[in-house]
Amino acid sequence: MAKPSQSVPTTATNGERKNAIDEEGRATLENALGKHGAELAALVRSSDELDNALTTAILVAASADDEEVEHITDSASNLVAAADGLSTEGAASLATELGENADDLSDSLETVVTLQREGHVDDLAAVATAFSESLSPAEVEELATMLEADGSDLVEALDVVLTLQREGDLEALVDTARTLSEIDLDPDAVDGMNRFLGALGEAQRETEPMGLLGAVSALRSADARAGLGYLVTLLKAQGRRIRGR
Amino acid sequence: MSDELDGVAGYMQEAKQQALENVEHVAEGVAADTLSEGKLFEIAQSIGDKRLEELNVADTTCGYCAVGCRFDLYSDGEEILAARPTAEEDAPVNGISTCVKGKFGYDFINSNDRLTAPLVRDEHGEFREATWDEALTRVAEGLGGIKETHGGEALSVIASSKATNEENYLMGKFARQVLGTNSVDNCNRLCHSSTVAGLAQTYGYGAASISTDDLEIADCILLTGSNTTEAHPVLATRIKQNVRDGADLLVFDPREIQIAEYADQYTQVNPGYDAVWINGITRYILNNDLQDDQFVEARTNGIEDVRESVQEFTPERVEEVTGVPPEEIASAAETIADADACVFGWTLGLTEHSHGTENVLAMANLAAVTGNLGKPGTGVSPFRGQNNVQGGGGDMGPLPDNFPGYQDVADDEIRAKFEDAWDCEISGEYGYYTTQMFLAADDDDIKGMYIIGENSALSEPGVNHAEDVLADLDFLVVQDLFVNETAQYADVVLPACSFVEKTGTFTNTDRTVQMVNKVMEPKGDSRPDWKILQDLANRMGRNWDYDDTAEIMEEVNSLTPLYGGISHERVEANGGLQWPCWDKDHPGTTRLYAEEFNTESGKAELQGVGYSEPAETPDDDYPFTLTTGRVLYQYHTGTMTHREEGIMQYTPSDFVEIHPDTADSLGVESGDLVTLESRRGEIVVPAQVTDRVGPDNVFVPIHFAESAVNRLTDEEHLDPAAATPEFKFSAVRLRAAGPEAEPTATAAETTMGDD
Repeated sequence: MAKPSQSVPTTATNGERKNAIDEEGRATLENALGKHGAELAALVRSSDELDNALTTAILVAASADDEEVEHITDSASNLVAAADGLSTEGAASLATELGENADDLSDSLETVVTLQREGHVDDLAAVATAFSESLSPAEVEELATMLEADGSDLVEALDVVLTLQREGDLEALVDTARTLSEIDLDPDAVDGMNRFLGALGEAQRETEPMGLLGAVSALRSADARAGLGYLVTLLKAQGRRIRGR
Repeated sequence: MSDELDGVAGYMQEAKQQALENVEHVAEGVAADTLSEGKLFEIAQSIGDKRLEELNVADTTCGYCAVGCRFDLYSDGEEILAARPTAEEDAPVNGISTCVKGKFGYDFINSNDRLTAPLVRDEHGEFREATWDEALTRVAEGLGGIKETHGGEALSVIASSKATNEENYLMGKFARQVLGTNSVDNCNRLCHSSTVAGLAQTYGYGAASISTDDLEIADCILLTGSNTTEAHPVLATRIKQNVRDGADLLVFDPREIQIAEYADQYTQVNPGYDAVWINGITRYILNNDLQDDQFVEARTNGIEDVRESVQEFTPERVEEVTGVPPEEIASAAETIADADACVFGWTLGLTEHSHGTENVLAMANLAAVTGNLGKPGTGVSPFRGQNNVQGGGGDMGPLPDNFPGYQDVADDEIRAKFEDAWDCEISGEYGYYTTQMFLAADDDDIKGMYIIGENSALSEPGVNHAEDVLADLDFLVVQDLFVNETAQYADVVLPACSFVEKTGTFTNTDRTVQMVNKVMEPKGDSRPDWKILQDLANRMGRNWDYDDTAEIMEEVNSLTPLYGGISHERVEANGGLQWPCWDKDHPGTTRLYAEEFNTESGKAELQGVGYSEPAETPDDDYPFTLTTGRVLYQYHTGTMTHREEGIMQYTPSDFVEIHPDTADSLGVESGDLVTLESRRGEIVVPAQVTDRVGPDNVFVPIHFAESAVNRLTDEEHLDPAAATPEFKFSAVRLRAAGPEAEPTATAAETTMGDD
């Protein structure tokens, strides 16, 4: 005989399963902070510089003159040209075009990550402009190679920061970190932490509305809006903290 | 589906996805100013196709009603994102059509309160999470202990018509082989078991004789007790298309339901006396020499018995009892007789009575007398309710009296075949039907139950009684997606998974066996029913070793002549196979009885049906008649649909339909709370004032735990042949509940999660 019970342990439900990744990650973060507080605090400071640089880059792009905008647009994977000249038959081939560009753009994003990881944050504004001109496969290849050559502990640690940014936990963690004593970096521990943090990515896959894109939508031409929209969004992909504020 | 990657790789994976979105935004911005709408659509299609490449897609069969719609489901591994038409040759019943539930009703799969781990009771009697090992051990000990002490007959299994054919086959096998009981049954007992009994007695098979296509080529369709547009929307669409093209539609129903708007003749009948007006039509046909003499002579026995028995149903008596005027009996009879091909369709309005089998026998007589069987556009068509109640609930034999393929448990030769195949002894005595199990538990004859995917605490008649029974069992194990109202009484709850998380077959309402294909992995630690049953059987001393459901179907083939030639491979290749399908070379059977009936004589065995009436008729104390039923946007006890936000916005709560005259006499308007009281309980629900019902009748949907209309229905008076309860007729009284009243809430009302 069993009396009816409506009390179900949440650990046995799908809702708990969906949240379990975050819980696991949070525990790991706390553990990691105990070991690597100082390093994280230092990286956070450089991350603030990153934010400033990104903001500058967006302003540069938004205030570009027509000629610069056109240049940006033309080099942004030829999409605008494809759309302008689109015939009925051409419409059907757009998916192929998109696929090719998606790969290019992904490589380009990697370029930006590389530069960030190498500590060139002060140059990022310039890079942002240069980036729009650097979509040639050769240049992408060159930058990607540079990334591969720089697979250091710093890269791993920066990745931790990026994840913290995405989770919105950075500020609270920084405060905590300042109270911790300096502990030597243990690469193995960082690796383990990184694996857990990587799993946190699920929660932030849903992107926010393109607020900054809206800010530049008043520009005169559709081409300009398209090019700037692309560029701004690209930068936002790196600078999630800006969007989160 | 996107791979989940760690660290930098994961970040870049996401960045790549974002880049693709960026490109789409660029395209949108440019295209909006420069391209025609036609081009925009083409671009949108191309982009959509590219994104869909990243999702899991599988064609599968709908898990709601038994129409058997097929479509492609799209999943990212976490949830169902879309349902879209599949290739038309793989969707023989629905083509590109789906109803609102099949299209959008999938939030339940990923809802927060979905059970993902087994539950057992702790020392305080509360649920706690358990490992599969612990939970299965407790079940084996709980059921095994009762078997050892009281014998297997003290145990019963309620199988699930939501589950696949293969799983239902195992549920029957588990009951008989592992537990040693014939008391295994399922939801068919609450709906169409009287159809099965009536049609099997007359024609040989307890199933629809038609193919769905017949609904589109018939010259005439008689519908009764079927709210087709709400309960079987896709079938209703096909019927309406045929009516648009000229077919005659006759609708006999106590409620002026939506399909009645399309009818050439709608006749409002008093509920509870269907055999009376059906016999009245048959009488008119026979007495006016409108029958199909050639068919009757060549293919039926018993016409004289029918002719004699219908004579008492004079037009005057029919009108007095059913409210149907003589001219409407005459016009319906002449329309049917004039038609070259007529289909007789019904749902639970005909069957959920204490004399449901007699209603079906009367209908079977009418179809046979008019020669409307075995030819294109003719036949009988009970519209089945649960997605797999035809196959899982009937064909696979989780039944107290039948093995798979409707092979009689009492037949020594048949029983020996199964004893040999399953290596066990099986009693020749029938077990308890579902409704009888709850009564037998009162007498202490049933002490333990294993309930799979069935919400008995809401769906049984007289649920006050059902709740007491569940609470008093020595041991109850429930296997479900949720801790539903029934599971709240369980000693152990085992987490099962839904139809999108497994592979197998369903059999639809026109006997078509169709593939169910896995679209996503099971949630958490939930498992398909067949795997749970296999683990449990092996803990209880058996050695089941099925690798997949295709292998289970091979065993079904070897023991079930009706399914002898139905394999997963053939079903997949053919886009469905209709039984009987005797062997691997048999093409399946589009339409039953083309040559002969499945009786010993090969003829339809007609039998006269006398007067019948509800077990409980209205009186001065309880002057109104309550009928229950479904609404379009909800499904059964709401386990699936109550977790769908959009659906809940549309039909969020219960109501009672009351005729305007009745509402006036009670002093209530739409929205006012009304108390309905029967001899078994009372509920309080808001009124919906409408002339859809007659002044002496009221209607309440079955879908809501909070009001639980089955508190009012009768668990004791069952159909003598099929043990179906009388859901469609209860004597009730009404009163305005007053401004301070609140709607009824059940003791076991679900309040958790996102429900």
